[in-house]
Formats: sequence, C-alpha cells, structure tokens
Amino acid sequence: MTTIALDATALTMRYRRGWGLRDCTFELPAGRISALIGPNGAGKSTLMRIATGLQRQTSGEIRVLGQVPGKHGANRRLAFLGQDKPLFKAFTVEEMLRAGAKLNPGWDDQYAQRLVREADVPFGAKIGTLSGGQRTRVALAIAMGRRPELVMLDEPLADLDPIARQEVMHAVLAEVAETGMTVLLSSHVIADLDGVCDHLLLLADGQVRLQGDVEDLLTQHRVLVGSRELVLPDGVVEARTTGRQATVLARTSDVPGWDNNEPSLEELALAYLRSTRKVAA
Amino acid sequence: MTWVAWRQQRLQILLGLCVIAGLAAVMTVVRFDAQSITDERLVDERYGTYVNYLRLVLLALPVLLGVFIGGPLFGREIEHGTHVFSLTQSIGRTRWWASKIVVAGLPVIVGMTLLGLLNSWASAPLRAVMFGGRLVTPTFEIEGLTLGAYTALAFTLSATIGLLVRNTLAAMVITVVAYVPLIGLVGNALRPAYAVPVTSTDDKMPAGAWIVSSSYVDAAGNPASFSPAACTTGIPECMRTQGVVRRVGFQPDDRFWSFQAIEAGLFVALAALVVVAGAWAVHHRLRMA
Repeated sequence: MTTIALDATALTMRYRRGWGLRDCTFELPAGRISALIGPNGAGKSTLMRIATGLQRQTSGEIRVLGQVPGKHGANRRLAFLGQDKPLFKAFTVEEMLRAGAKLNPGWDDQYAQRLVREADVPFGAKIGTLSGGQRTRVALAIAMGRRPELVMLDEPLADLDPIARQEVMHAVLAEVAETGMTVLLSSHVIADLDGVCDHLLLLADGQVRLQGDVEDLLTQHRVLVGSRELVLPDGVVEARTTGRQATVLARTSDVPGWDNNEPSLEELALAYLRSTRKVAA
Repeated sequence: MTWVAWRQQRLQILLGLCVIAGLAAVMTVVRFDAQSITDERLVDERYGTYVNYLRLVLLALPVLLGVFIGGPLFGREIEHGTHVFSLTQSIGRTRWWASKIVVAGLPVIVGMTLLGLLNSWASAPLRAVMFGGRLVTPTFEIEGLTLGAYTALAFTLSATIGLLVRNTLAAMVITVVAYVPLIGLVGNALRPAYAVPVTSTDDKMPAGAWIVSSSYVDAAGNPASFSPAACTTGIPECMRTQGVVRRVGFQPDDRFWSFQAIEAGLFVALAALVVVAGAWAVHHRLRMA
C-alpha cells in the first residue's frame, strides 16, 4: 500500500494561449479526502486530465499510485469523474452499468447496482432523461464500481441543486468511510468542501499556492483583527482595512495585541485566492 | 468493448445493412425477371430506367454509407465529450479505437463487397441494354470487388478525419470532397494503365472491349497525321486513299476481374494507410484541450 496516492514534481502544462499548470510540486496522502480548490481556470481540470492520461504534460512528472500515467489507458486503480459527467445519452442506466462492466476488469456489479438503487434511479431510464443529480449518481456508481483505490471527482457538485449536492456528497462520504479509498475532489465552491476534506491543495493561475493537512493549516494560520495602527506580524497572506480596523490573515501563531482567531477553511482559502489575484492585478 | 461499440453504433450499422439488403433483394428479383425475357427490346423497355437509377445509387452508396457510419464514429463521441468516459476506463486507447473501427466498419464493408459481387451476377441478363463493357465507368465501379473497397476507404477516411477535426459534419464533408475527385482520377488516369493495352487496327472490336487510346498509322505502322475534316469523300474511303489506318489500344473484357483486384487492392491499401494515420492520431492528437 502506497502512502502517497498522487505526487507531482515541477508539473507544467503549457497551452497555446498560456499556462495550464506551472511548476506544480505536491503530494496527496493515501486514504484521505483531498480538496482541490481554485478559481475557474486555475488548472484543476488540467491536473486531473493529466493524472488520468487524457492529456500529456509539457514537462515535469506526475505519478498516480506510484505509476506514470501511460498510453495504455487510465490506471486501473484510478477512477475519474469528469466535469460534465460524460455518459452515453442513448444508453439506459442498465446498459450504462453493463458498459462499465465490459470496460473494466475487476468490476463489482453488485456494488454498482446497489449504489444506483440507493440513488433511486430507475434502471430502465435513458441517461439523457435523467436529472443532473441522478446522472451524477449514476456516473459515481460507475466510477465506484471499478473499486478504485483513488477516485478523482472534477467539480462533481457543479450544476446540482442544494439538496442534490448534499445527497451526492453524502454518497461519496459513505463509500469512502466503507472502502478507505483516496479521494481528490475539485470545486470552486469552498463551502461544499468544508468539514468534508482533510487535505488541501490550492491552485491559482496554474500554481500551487497552499497545500497540506487541513487541521495543520488551520492551526498554523490566524485571523487577526485589531487597530490599523498595529504592526503587522510576519507571514501576512492578506490584510484588509475597513475604517480604523484591520483584518489580517497570516501564517503565524498567536500575535499579542491582536484579536486572534483560527480561520475557517473558507476564510483561509479565500484569503489565499484573493492575495494571488491582487498580485496578478 | 465490442458490446459497447455495437450498442453505440447499432442504429447506423443496422440502417446501412438494411439499405444493402434491400438493394440485394431488388437486384435478385430483377435478374430472374430479366432472364426470363427473351426479347432484348423488352428488357430495355422494362429495365432501361432501372439500370440508370441503380448506377446512380451504387455510385453514391459507398461514400454515403462510409461517411454516415464513419463520420459520427469518433466525431460525435468527441462532440458529446463521452470519449472522456471511454478513455478513462481500464481498457486502453488502442482497444477503444480499434474496436469501434472494426465493429462499425466491418459489417458495412463486407456487405458492400457482397453487394458488388451480387451485382456482377444480377446484371448479366441486363448487359445487352447497357452502354459499353464491364470495364467502362460506371459499370466497373458498381460491380465486383470495388464497391466494398470504396466503402472501406470512405469509412476509414471519415472516421479518422472525425478523430482529428473532432466534428461529425466536418468529417463527412471533408471525406466527400476528397473522395469524389479521387474516384474520377483513378478511373481516368490510372485504370487504363493497369495492364498494357492490346493494340489493333481491325475495325471490329471484341465484345466488351474498353478503348483507351486511338491514333492513326500508315501501312508501316508509323504514326501518321490524318485530318477527317480535310476529306471530301467518306472518311473510310478517304483513309484508304491516303493509306492511313486507325490503331486503337483497348483493354479486353476478360481483364475485368484482374482490374477489379488491382483497383480494390489500391483502395484497400489507401484505407490501410488511413487506418495507420488514425492509430497515430489516437495516441498523439487525441487530447482534451
């Protein structure tokens, strides 16, 4: 059992119109739920596509469960759910599951069927007629039916209503708890990931801005509130002033003189994302 | 993967096979009916129009079926983004691509080959009412092995272009634009030279001979200039007084099958090249971005 599920060294993807990924070096520990956070166009999808072998990087290295994604199909122990949940629209749910079985040795049919049944999706329905939530559940069942060690979900909750978001998230969490698989979940809506993910990878403009264990990161950062006259500590990520009051997010332990608070995941991520935007502007 | 490919393409495959089967049925019925008619004029009266329409249909069918089945094979899958699903399953790219090509292409190519062979047999009693021999366009293109070979090229071409341009309609259009001049070019520039023509100065040609060249020679066999416009008498008499004879080069009818084999071989070879290009493209060009 590898302890690192996914790792990259100086991973770079250059497009004609600019950078997809730029010199990204990171590690994702096995058996965890990692959040891949970043604004639209940050390189989240690019990263996942390279990991699945759909796309080849310009330079640098990436290893999925210790293997370099090659020409010979995606890694068998890796399942991927694309952003627009691509499934054959003309197939029925049952046929789609059969396709999953035909395309994957080691397919667990009972398990996949159970996931579809739990989602209350009729087996005879055509994929094209399903709602967004149902379609995501079917796509998820097919990804899980492969019994992967690592599953990568690219914006699985986008275009779902709030109830469907919750249901899909619950379904993912239940399976993770049961199987102990590694999950990489991308989203630009950080609230969806709070309390779900225990590892964080934050991308902006194709670069890694922050990574690590969520608990550790939160304890290493402080939201400081105080008078704008106060001297800023080292490690400031972002400082904002409103009137005479300053709100600062810094990588630091408690700073005397300030009102010290541990940030939430959302505060932490937003501060990093906003700070990169300011640098870019 | 075979089942998945079949399930994805079955509508096109079955429709294509239905068209082929329908035509085969009509041809068979016509053959038996035409054979029972002993009067040649009656055959012409009854089947003259049929022969013309059958030619039109069979000339168009290889490229129509080829693009109809080949164009969407990868083009539509990429348009819908479902190749992302297919390519992230455990089976490899090559198997995905090869299965789709074989499952969608083989039935219609085999069907069209059989249809061409059937047409050689079914057209026999109609031969008398056709212009020219079997080697002449359009009869050569619609009988024997060529129908299947043309279909193979149109299919592989549209499938591969679909993979490269990622668009069904563009794949279909580009294939038609490339295919039509190619058929014309091969028929006019290459086919007459598949074998050295037989030359003859005899006025009477053997039945079904395809005349590919014609010139005037003197008694010694050297090229001579002769202008029919300068004659004041009848042309045969005029030639005789000037000591000039017409020498033609022709391909005899019994070369039909060897010519069929050469032309089919040529198109199958081209299709094979296209397949190799497709194999390269599926590894090196098929990316998400």
